[in-house]
Amino acid sequence: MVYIIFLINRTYVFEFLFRRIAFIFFTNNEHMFLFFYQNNEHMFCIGLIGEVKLIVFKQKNLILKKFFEDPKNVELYELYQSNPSQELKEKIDSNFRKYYFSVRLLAYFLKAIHYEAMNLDQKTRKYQQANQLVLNKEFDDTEVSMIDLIGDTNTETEISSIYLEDYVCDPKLYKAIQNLSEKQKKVLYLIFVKDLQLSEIAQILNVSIQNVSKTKNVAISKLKKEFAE
Amino acid sequence: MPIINQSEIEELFRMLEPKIKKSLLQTSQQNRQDLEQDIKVIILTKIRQNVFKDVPGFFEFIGQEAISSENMS
Repeated sequence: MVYIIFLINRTYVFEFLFRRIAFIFFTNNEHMFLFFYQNNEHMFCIGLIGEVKLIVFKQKNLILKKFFEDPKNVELYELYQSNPSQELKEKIDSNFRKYYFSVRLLAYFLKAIHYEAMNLDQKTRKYQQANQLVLNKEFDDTEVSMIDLIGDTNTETEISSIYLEDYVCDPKLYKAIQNLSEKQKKVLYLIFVKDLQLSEIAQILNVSIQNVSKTKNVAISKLKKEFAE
Repeated sequence: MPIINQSEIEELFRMLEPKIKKSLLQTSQQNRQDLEQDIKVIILTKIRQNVFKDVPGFFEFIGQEAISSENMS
């Protein structure tokens, strides 16, 4: 059962397991070593020519591989191999900690950013859907909607309606006008929309001028009263 | 336990910048600045919370890996 072949400092490493004993076989152009070990604790050397430079590198471990891509770390580790001291061990440990920490942090945030962006985006979408700006949605208990209240100052549209209410933008005024009688509405319409003289209106409605004037005054005071409420 | 200082935080933000920019693309134009700010706030809070308290040292790591690979085989 041969496990790995990978390259460290131009040294080929073969590792295989046999009856729970790992055999490691290093070779490069100059030296050949064969080790076996058990439980990662005791290492025995079977055959050795030259100096032992490397120890077991676990198979396919990207973290370790990348860690040893830095020549400083390799140097440190080789130094430790030939001269194992507590100081060197701590140095390797702290170097590795720093490296591993940065890898973990980066990996974590790369994922976290993706999910956070998704979450926040969904949140704003939900909020916007719940609080939409609907222009033609009617106000409570009226038939008036937001879009009716938007005045367009750039255009002068002719309104050709015979109803006084249709000339009004304010919902309050609109409501007040609706409470007037038909005659009052008609008089106000002729005065303010058609811009007619009281005498002309009197002729159209076939009533006296005084009557028209009185109707107008009553209607306006009624509107005033309702509007003030 | 590694402690992150100010310059390291800046370095981290510099490294994460492309990812943040990319993640902004999924939202609409007018929400992008808000989203960017929110993401940065979240990163900072996570750093403050110290999410990775236990980072193993080299020899510890080797030991762990040896055990896990033994269990696998």
